[in-house]
Amino acid sequence: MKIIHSLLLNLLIGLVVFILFFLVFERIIVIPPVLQVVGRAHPLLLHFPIVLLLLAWLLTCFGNRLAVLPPVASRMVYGLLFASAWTAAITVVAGLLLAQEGGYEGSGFQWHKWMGVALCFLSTLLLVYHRRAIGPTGRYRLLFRVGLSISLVVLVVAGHFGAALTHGEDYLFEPLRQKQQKTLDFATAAVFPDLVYPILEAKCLNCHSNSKAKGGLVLADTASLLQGGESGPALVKGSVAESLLIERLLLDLDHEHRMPPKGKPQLTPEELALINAWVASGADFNTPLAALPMDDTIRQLAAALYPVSEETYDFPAADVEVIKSLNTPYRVVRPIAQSSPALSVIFFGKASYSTQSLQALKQVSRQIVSLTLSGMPLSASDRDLLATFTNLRELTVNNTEVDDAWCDVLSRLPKLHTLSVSSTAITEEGLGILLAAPSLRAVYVWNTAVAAAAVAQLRQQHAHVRIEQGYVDSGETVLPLNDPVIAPVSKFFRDSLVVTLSHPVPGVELRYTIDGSEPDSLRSLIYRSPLPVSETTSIRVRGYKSGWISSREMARTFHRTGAEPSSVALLAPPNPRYKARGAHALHDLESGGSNHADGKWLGFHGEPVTAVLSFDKATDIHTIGISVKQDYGRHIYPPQEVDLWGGTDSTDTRLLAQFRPELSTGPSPTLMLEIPVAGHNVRYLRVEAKPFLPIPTGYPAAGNPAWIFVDEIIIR
Amino acid sequence: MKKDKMIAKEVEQARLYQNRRQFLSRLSVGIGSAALGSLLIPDLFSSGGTGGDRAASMLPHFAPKAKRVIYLFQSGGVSQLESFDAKPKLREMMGQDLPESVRGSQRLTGMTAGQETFPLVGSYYDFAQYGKSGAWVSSVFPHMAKMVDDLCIIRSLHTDAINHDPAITFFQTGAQQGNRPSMGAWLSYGLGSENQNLPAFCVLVSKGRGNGQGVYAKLWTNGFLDSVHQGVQFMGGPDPVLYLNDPPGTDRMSRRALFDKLAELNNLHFDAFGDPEITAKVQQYEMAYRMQTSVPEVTDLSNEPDHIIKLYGPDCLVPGTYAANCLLARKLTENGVRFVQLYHQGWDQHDSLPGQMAMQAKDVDQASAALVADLKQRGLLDETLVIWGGEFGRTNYCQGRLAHDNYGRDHHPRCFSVWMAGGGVKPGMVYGETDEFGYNIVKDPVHVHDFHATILHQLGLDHEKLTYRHLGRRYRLTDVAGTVVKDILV
Repeated sequence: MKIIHSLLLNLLIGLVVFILFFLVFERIIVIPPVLQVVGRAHPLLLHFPIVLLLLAWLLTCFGNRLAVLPPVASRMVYGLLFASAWTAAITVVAGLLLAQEGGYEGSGFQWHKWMGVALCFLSTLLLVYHRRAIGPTGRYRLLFRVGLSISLVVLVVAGHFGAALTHGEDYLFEPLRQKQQKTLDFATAAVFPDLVYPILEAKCLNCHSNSKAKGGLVLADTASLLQGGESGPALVKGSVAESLLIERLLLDLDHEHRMPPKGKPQLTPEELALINAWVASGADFNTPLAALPMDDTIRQLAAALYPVSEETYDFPAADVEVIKSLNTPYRVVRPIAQSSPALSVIFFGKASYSTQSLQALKQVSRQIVSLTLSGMPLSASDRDLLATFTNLRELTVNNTEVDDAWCDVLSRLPKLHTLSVSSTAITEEGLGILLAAPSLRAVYVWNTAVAAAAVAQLRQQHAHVRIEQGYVDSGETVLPLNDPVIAPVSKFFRDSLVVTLSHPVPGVELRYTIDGSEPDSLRSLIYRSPLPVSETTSIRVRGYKSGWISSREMARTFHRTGAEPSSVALLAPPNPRYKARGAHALHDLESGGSNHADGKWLGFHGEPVTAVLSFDKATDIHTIGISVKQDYGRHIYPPQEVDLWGGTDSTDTRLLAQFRPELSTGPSPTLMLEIPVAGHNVRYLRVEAKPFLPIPTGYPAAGNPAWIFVDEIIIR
Repeated sequence: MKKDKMIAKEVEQARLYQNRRQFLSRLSVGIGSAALGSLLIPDLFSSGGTGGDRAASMLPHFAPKAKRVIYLFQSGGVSQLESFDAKPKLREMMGQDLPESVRGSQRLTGMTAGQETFPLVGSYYDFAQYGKSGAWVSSVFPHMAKMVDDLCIIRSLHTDAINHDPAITFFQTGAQQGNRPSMGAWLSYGLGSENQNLPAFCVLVSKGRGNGQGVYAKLWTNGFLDSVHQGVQFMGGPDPVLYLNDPPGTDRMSRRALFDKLAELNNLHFDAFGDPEITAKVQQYEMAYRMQTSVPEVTDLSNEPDHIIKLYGPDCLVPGTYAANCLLARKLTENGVRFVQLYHQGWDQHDSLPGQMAMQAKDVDQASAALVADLKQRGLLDETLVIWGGEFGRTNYCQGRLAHDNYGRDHHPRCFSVWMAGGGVKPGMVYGETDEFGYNIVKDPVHVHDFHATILHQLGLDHEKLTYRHLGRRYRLTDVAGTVVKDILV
């Protein structure tokens, strides 16, 4: 045991001597790779001396109170000190080896190095002193304690600088500082100090500060930045390709010269783009951000890096109860977020607004950052009240009486950055006053008297403000009017009907014809009042308005039906998918629409439609009309043949007429089959409509059974 | 000796023995440290976590970019290949079979799984680049093309569902099966109503001329949330909100008297039972009463100036059309409605795509672009998030018979395009990329859950914190997934 002890003690002395040697010949030593591994163990090893020394110190100073018997304590202290001296020595050796790898320079490194060495020597000295002077029964305890305390201080200093080397300066207290949100005042910020430097500070200065200066490069101040490092100047103003700074940032992550090196916090794409853009723009150190045009890359990147709305407020929150009491269905007062002191206010309901409604907000006027008064009947007294909302950031007063007289008050709101005065009486003059406000960033002047030319000019003068004029109808947009509306929708009526024509767009002139001719803007009748109709009539109508292309033509034929059957029955049921309201649909005066499945069409697939109509009294019939749908693409065809049978009852019928419709090439969606008959004293009428079986060649779906869709049978 | 041992044993037992007092005092230390630890869990005792309590605060978790949402839902599944995802390769390879390596073993719908070949088909319409952003837009959307610098086009959305109903339900509620709250209901629950004279969540439905799929009230359901958060449908015609008008013979005065009396009775009931639902009910009656004046005001389009009609197109004055719904959406938004959900049906082009797509696009293009422009000129776009898109995309191969001017496309959930505008989303951006066949995403995929998380984020809500306790667990719109797509945010 004793042999091992003295062997270790001697070895320790040997190590200390080796350290001395190392320090003297530092510059000419070359480290083989095996030892480099030892060097890289430095961050692991350093924890041992820290803990061991701390324990030794605790036991020495407070051993008595810990009820450890003095001889035991003394031996324990010796053991701990022994171990800490040993590990300190190894740590120092490893640290020196690591430093030889290069990249560690600067004052912080020097402090760390020499404090570490000092700690190693001190602890070795103390160990020898403890052995000689104190021993199990030794005296001179005070000196020992002082020495141990000094080494503890040295330890803390060395540790601090070491940590700063690895994690960066101020690593420890960073979380406290980060609570303050990073903000950027776009009006006063300059590109280098407020945008570029913070990136360097966060991602580069860890290694390239005055205290570390890896590769001889310091990026902490403009002079050093221009001077560059061992590999040459970091910057060539205006030339991205020649700037070493950019080159290193863009190297492959695994490249040995890549910056920041693998494992260190990397630049975000926006940050990289920003530095790139700054170098490309000439790497000026003083350019203010506001001097750059709105669409400049640097400006846009700045907006990406510093989102504007993450704003902190310097006023206290208003009382929750007060806020609650201010809320009504017509005035909404809300904090903009949980735990935010800022309030946003919106007014609704023109009728319930008065100046008092705005006056009531006075107690929270400091907290209001966003106010919407659109559509409210504002007056001059409201204007004066607005001046008290000094923290207002966003104000929306669209569609109000606001005019140029308001602009002075508005321009003096110190924090106002977004103002919407669309649909107000603001003119160019007022806009000019508003734009003089230094805080203003966006203004909306759609639907005001401000001329487009004036906006263009003001935009040039105030490049930092977004002036939004919106859609201006220059008269160049000429759109076709949409379809006029003919009412009623149903095409069938019994005795008489009143037809109304209308158009959704106000001010449209409707021209119509009832003689079947095409309506035009010159000769056709102008629609002024509803049209009474008592006979089957075709109405064609078209809409006209200046500044618009005339509408499409709408046409509808209203068919009059005469005698009303007492009952209608279908001898075979329709297809279950299209059964409408059964036989009733055939005389309910309701016409089917363009959709065959709208519940008003009766559909029959490959089967004849056989309807029986009975009349209470004998009726003279000269025309039967069958309204059918045509959609050849969907296999919907008119019947191939219609047979009309009539008589006094079902047993006494004769064929009144037989009719074969002609197929057209471009069929209209509906067709009224008007079949002349000569029927006298008819009380019973049977309509048989037979489908195409199959659909003839040359037509869509030829060879298949056809559908028949029917919505009404009229009788005249 | 034996006695010593016994004493020692007793001493030991006494030491081990803990009476209740000791136990409790130890426990209190334990509880104290647990309490200390809990200080580090910020939302442990705040209202956000449990169902029902949230109504008390109804504030965003953090300062929002957007206050409102207008969702222009294109129901049926708009083809990305004829709208925003230009794929010249498909034109080159027209009629050739989709390479096996592209599709791999991904599933197809029953409608085309049986097809013997999967002939690729390129867009019938030409694409061109527009705006400063140089985004590619097809020729059927000339108006939207003019607005691309205000839009953020995402070409890399993908979904889990392959058929309409599950896909649209997934988009609306974050789950395919239904019965969960719709996105608008979640927002109403999370943020409350801005204007108490109108519902926080309004729904507008229109029908296009193309092949359509149904949209049902289950899509705007409140699910397990309070029924206050349900979407309210506004219809075209004389009665925009059903059952809102007084029945014939009732005037407003007697209605008022009725509500007052009813509130009196309800308050008595509340005093007896203290159920907050009773107060909620009284408030609902009051809101309905106020809606009797606010709804006619907001749905009245007669005061819109001529140039607004030109901006949206004249159909905006025809109630029930998509254009009219867009205009109404603007008015509702202007009046503080939190979430306006439009549905436009007719985008399900399994066949006759070139013809149908042109008709569909004609109906929605101008009004969609106009809505963005109109919000912008009123200074509302910054605080309103507009979203345009369908429930999935369409296949790059033809369904059914392929002709040079006529083809169809089946459902495709692997990639499709939507756009967003305003509300703190980067304008003039094209995000995400699909492969040259337009079949798989190769860059920046955005899942529906991510999409939801992003929307909530823009409204100041943390999608992981917006929860509701139901059936023994907390539910979220984003289920247990979703990442905010930070790249597309300003």
